Amino acid sequence: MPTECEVTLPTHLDIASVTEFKPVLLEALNSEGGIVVQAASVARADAIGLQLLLAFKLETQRRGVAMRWQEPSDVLVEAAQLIDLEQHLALTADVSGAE
Amino acid sequence: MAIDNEALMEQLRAVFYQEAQEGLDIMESGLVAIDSGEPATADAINAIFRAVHSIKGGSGTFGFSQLIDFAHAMETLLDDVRSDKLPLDPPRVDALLRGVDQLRGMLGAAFGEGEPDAAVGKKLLAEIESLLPAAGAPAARVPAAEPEPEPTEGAWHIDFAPYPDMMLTGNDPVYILRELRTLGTCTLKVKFDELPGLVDLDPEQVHMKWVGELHGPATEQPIKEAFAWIEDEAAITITPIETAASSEEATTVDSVESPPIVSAVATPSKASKAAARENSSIRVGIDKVDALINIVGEIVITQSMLGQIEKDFEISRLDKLRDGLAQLARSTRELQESVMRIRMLPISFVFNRFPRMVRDLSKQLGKTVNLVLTGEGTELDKTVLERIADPLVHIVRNSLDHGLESTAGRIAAGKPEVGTIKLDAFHQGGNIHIRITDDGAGLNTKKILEKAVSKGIVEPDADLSKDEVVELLFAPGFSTADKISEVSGRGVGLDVVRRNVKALSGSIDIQSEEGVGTTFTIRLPLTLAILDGQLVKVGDNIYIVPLTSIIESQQARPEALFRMGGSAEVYRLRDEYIPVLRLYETFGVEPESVDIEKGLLMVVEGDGRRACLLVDDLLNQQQVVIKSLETNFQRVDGVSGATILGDGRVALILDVSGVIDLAHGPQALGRRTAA
Repeated sequence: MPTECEVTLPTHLDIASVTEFKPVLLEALNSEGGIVVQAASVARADAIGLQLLLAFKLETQRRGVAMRWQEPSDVLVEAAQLIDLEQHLALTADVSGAE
Repeated sequence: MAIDNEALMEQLRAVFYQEAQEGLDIMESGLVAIDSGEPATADAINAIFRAVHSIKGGSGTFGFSQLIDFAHAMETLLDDVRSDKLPLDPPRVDALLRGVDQLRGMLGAAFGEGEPDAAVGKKLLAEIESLLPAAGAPAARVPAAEPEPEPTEGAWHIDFAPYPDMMLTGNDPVYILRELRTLGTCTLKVKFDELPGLVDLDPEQVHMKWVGELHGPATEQPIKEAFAWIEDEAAITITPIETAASSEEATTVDSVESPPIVSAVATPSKASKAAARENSSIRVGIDKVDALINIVGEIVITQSMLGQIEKDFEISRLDKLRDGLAQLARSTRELQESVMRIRMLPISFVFNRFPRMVRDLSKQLGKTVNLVLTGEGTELDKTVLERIADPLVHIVRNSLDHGLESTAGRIAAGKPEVGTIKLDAFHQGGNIHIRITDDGAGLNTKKILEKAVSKGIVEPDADLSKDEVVELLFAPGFSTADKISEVSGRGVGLDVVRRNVKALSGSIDIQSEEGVGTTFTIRLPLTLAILDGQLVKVGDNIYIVPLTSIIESQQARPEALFRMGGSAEVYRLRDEYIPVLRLYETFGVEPESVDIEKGLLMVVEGDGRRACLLVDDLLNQQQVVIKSLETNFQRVDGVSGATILGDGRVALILDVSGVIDLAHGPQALGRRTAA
């Protein structure tokens, strides 16, 4: 059985890191065993960082790739709530189990 | 878009630094204005609030936690003030002003410019927090006895669509929406219909927008403020929604089709913001850049026209060639002026620091002072502007400390209790004049003379005119203060001020009347790069005399020439005897003639002193580009620089004041040799 691919979000998921981080997410999409996104260490997240996660999440759905969040940090969840992305990202819903 | 993240962050940090400095200036000038008795209007308080709010936001973006905490405390205090929970009384104004200083220090520290005093900061933070309403009893501190009216609720439809590159300017919708949520119940929903797939997504461009309602403030002002920082970076509309509570006022307004309030007001506010930035920033206004582009366009056209003429040249086309060259000369001149304008900044950059300084010093000295600023929009070269700040500060400190009498002294002299210091800037004859006037006691020439005698600067029996006595103030180390005060007795005298002004090719003089007041006048060139000069010939050499130093020129009349003890010559011009300086002697060159009748006398003035320069001939007048002699060769006394003439020859530009110094020698009374 193919293993899950783990992606760790950068500590600063923001305008300064999105360009570098996008290829990591694209690479993860090739995973056959689903993706787990480790989000515990996010200490700063801005709208552009969250937008990248949204595009990633939508892409996984479009491709039918399973993905789940692991321990999303409070900072990440709060920023997502503030700009109404929490539900779209299903940040808290995914914590308890895989999609 | 591939960009270097480090470089981007550096750029954003630089923008934040500059804008935070501007914000601090706005806070300071607003608080000083309120402190000096101007009404604390909602607009004034909001402007101060917005500034600290933006500083806090920016600090958050870059993780400057100290700044965030401090700005937050000030913001909370100001928020309570603007919502009428607290009065903006003198202790609060004072604490906020010291808060501005602390923020400035912290900002500098965040950018590696030394550390502010942490203990002072901690104490001040505690003081600011103590000025807030006690927890649990917010309304108890309201000065008005009337209970606070129940705030009325409003409902607003908000469309917030960031432009794609908004994030590149350091702004973040997370902050904006967080702010909106503090205003009431916010149901803004995210829309991302235009979000490309991950593969095609440019990760630095925003493709989300937010639409929804806010039920909260009764006026749109607080909502507008939440967007104030990004009104140039996003399409924002705020429309009132008719509710039961507001239906009475809204009866004439269709809630669906009513014009969006923010977009309607955003245009003037945007314009005024742009104007404010242009006046308070070294960034170049687009109009100046456009003017440059226009001129360059004209030059390109002229060049192509000249190219055509050159291609099929016939003598019959000579007139066209002349026209083309004349056009090129005009455009070049315009180009030069436009480029110079780019470096021009309003003197308000320097003047703006004085209200705060005068406020603090007058408190320290126990004097009541009214500061009047005029001509703040007068523009001058950025370098000149930066270098004139310290001399001006010194003079204003002097005027406050030594010029203005104590309150008791003013009352005894039958003067208004409040002293006045005026700072005025204006253009005159291609120069900028800055006048610092006080209505104080004026210079006490007797006291100055006594001091000069006691310091051995002049002989006890010296017979000096009033002007000569005043000139003594510029002697190195001269101070008439009985006591060295913290305010102006810093061991730096007016001699340093004059040296700094002279280094800018400027001059300074004093007019004073005992009992009435003193005026310092500083004259500065508009720019240090270009000078309007008169070319003069001495033997085979050409010298340039700044036009601003020339009073008149004339053929010498031998009967008006007098020789005074030794070799000193003076020339009688009307009722005045003026020393004659033979330039060929000063510079040791061979003249065409040593006969004064065959030459020309040019009457010049520098630092309030006149001299007649004997030259062989006057040539044309022209603008010359100043090249530093010091940088390219070495410093030469009596010469302020050099230039290259159209024929390739190098001509020296005279420092008139220095030439007079050279001729008089260092022993001359109250005069310095160029240091």
